[in-house]
Amino acid sequence: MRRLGSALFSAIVIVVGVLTLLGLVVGDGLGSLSGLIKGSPIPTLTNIFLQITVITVAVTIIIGILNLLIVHLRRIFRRSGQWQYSVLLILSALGVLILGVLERVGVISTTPAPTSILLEGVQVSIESALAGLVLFALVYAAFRLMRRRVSGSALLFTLVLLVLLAGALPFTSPLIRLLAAIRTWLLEVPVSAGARGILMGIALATVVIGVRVLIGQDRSYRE
Amino acid sequence: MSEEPLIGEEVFTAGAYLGGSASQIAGVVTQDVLRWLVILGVLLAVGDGLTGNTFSKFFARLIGGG
Repeated sequence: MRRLGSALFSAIVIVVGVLTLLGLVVGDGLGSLSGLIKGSPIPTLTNIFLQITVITVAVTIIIGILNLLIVHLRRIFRRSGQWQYSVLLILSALGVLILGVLERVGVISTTPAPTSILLEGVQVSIESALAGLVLFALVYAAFRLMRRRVSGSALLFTLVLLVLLAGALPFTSPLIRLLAAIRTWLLEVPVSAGARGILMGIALATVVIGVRVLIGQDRSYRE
Repeated sequence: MSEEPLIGEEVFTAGAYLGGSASQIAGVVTQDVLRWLVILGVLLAVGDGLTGNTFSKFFARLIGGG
């Protein structure tokens, strides 16, 4: 019975996946195939599937937020750990939620919107501050690497780190300008190439996983 | 838990690391083959650019018959 259920789920996923793929991929340049697809209810079905996906993702986010609130409410009621921070979190979450609702219904119509101010003033500032901490992590990593063993890769890491940091200094001496030029080249060529390589790898892996789901080999959706 | 940080597509190969079934390993090998094909494509494009579009002209003649 369980195997039958698995086969049924696989069949549903394959049919939905193939229909969505056809609706998204087949454009106007494929002659009779384009006419066949456009004339069929496949584009409408694709739109419905995409909407269902978006709604499902939104619901999972809401479930995540609710779970977070429940966990922190439990901490407050049990007075466990540093529950004061949980109170702060609940109040912040409710405050942002209420502000968002008031904006949506038109009670608050100031420009810029209060939620945008909160996002810029709190979220972005905190993220920038955390990103700034990467500097300390990198310097500490270089220190530990060099203390353990002076190898070629450790030397390269430390050298690149020093060039990147010195090149970001706001001075105009010829040495700093040279370092800034090297820094720009490093960021635009090797770093960019590495990042693109990782992105290509992710894209290829996503394609392979997609094909595995379409041929019923991947079981992640039924476990 | 992984002892090393997983970067990029390594996240997608976690199943093959843990399960190790033939099907999962085939997926990882496919990824590697596709990656080499992409590298080959990038190198061909670079070579094409450096040699004044020799390859693309050759393929255009081959496909177009001109």
